[in-house]
Amino acid sequence: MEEELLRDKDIIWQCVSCNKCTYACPRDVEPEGVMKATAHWLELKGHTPKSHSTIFDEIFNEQVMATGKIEDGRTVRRYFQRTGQALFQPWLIEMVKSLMRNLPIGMLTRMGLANFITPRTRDWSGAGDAIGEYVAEREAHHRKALKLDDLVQMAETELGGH
Amino acid sequence: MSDKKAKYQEVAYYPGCALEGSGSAYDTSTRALGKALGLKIKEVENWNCCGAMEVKNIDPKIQTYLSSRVMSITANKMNMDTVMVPCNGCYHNLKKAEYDLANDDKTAEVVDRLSKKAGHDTYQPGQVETIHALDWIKETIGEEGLRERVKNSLVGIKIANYYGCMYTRPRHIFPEKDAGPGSESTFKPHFMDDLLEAAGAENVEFPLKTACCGGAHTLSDCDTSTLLVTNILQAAEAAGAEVIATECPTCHSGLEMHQIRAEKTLGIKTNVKIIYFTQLLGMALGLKPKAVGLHENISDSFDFVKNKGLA
Repeated sequence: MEEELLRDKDIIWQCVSCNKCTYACPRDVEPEGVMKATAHWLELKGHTPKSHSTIFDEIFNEQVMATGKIEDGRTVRRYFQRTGQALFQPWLIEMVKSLMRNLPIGMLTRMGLANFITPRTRDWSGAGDAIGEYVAEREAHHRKALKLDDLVQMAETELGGH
Repeated sequence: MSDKKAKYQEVAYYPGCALEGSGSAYDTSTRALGKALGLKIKEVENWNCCGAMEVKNIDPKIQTYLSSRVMSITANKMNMDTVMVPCNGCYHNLKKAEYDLANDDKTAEVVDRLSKKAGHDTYQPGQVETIHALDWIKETIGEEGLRERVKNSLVGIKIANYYGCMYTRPRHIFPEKDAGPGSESTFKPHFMDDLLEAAGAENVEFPLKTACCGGAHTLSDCDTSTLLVTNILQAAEAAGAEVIATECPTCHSGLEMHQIRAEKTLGIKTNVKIIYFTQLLGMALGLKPKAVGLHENISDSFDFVKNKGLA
């Protein structure tokens, strides 16, 4: 099973969550969830490096936990930074130029300000902390279920023996 | 007056993060359209992100919690029973949260725990009805109401109506759809077609109404998204459309971004305009292009609307 999944590991990342498969399925099976779970399992087990898609999800989740909201400019910048890609890609520059063509000054100022004043939900810390605790709890659960800590310990014992 | 027509005259409004940022044109045009039609909206107080397409990949129950908080505020703080959502992503997530909370005890238990820790009332399924901006206009004003109010008819404008993935799929989270006459179809949605046709537009037969734009991977798998979007743009042009009408900020920005990217990276140029349905309806009611945020779009359709007599 593990071998078969490894053989198909590149396909798994291509699921776009469009749910067309579920729509066509007479039993409402949801392959999207299976694809996502498989992808994370491959990463947790160390079979594949962290994908760009997962890095994007993590940046997104960090922002939601911290502020309750998302500011897309910041998400994009952090994503390019963390994946080591240049922010000024030719097509992005073209897009920004196109956007600037008709924007009035007031709107541009507002967009510029969004870089400094992050939109946030008031009194969010209680919710943010509750989510953070839950994420940590689930991670510990997954590590245990996959026996990742045992693997680490085995490796350490092995190394210690030499 | 039908039940829904009366119920939707005043609704809670959940814009969501995209409408505060890259999809601001959709926010501007939704508000302007509601105002022009005499409908009342009250923005959900101190709302938070619904989880979009990303948080569920960390853990689906956190996404359910985030969406449930929005509905909890609507019901328990604002004492309202209907929340109107223009963004397909938010709309989908609130609907999914409603379904999961009503049908999965484990989800309900986690959401209750998180809500208590966060210090607010736990949302109980059934407290709030989530509707899309399309439902809102369709039920309160409808085709007949629009026909009476149109000042600048969309006559002579060929439109491909693009609904995207999240408005109809998966079907089980939308129990009110596919429910006989007057209801929306998940197989071949038509609410946007109906409204734009009432405003005078000529809808083309568009086979990719509910195709995927690759929105979930717009940045992390750019090439896939560019290909999916190019399919949509080319299919719309092949069907004779001059405009793709949109109802989702992720689809809308995705189409705009990848229209530019397809030209840069694949050398495929398309000219079809990408405009929110709320912008088209607003202009049909006589609102100026700027009043519906046409200048906030990435793509430039000013000359187009001028030539069509909408400016």
